[in-house]
Amino acid sequence: MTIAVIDASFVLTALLGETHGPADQFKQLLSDAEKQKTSVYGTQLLVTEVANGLRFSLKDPKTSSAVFAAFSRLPITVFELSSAHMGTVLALSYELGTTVYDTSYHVAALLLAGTLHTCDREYYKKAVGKGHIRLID
Amino acid sequence: MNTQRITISIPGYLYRKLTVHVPKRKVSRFVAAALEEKLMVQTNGLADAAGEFFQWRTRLPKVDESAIREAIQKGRT
Repeated sequence: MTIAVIDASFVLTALLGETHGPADQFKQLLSDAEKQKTSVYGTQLLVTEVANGLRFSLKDPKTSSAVFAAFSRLPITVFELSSAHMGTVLALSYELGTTVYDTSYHVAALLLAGTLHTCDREYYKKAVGKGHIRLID
Repeated sequence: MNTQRITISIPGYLYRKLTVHVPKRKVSRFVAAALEEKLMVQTNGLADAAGEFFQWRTRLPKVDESAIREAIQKGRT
C-alpha cells in the first residue's frame, strides 16, 4: 500500500483550480484509497488551511461550510506531528528556506515514508532535493 | 463456504442484547450479515464522499493558483 500525504494547495486546487489535472489526480488518490491501494494522510494544518482557503476564496458562508463538510467526510487520516517532529520541521525549514507551515506536510511524508502531493510550486522547487514530494499540475 | 473462526470483544450490554434477540446457534450468521451490511455502507460512503466533494467543483467559480495560495496563507503573518 502506498502512502500519500496531501496539502491544502492540492485539495483546494483540485476543488477550485482552473485545470483538471489536480482534480483528476485527487480523484485517483481517493479511488485508490477506497480500494485500499493507498492511504491518504493530512496533518492538523491541512484542516485549518483548507478552512482558511475556503474562507478567503468563497463569499457565501453557507456554501463554504457545506464544502468544508464535504471535505471533512473524505477518507483522509490526520497525522499528528509531535513536538519532537516539529523540531525536525523547524530544522528542515531553515535548511530549505521555507516556512514551518509548508515544511510540516513534507516532514509528515518523510516520517510516513510516503509522498507529499502538492500544487505549491515555490515549495516544490526548494524542497524537491529531499525527495518524497510530487508536484501536481 | 470458506469460513474463518475469530474471537472478538464487545460491550456487555451489546452481548446481552444479542443473546435476547439472536438464538445461540445463529450468532455467527448474524454477525457476518451485520458486518457485510456495515462494510457495504462504508464502501459506498467513501465513493459518495468523494462524489459529493467533486460535485462542488462543478458549482464553484474557478480560482487561479496564486489566488488559492494567497487564500490559504492569508492571516498567517
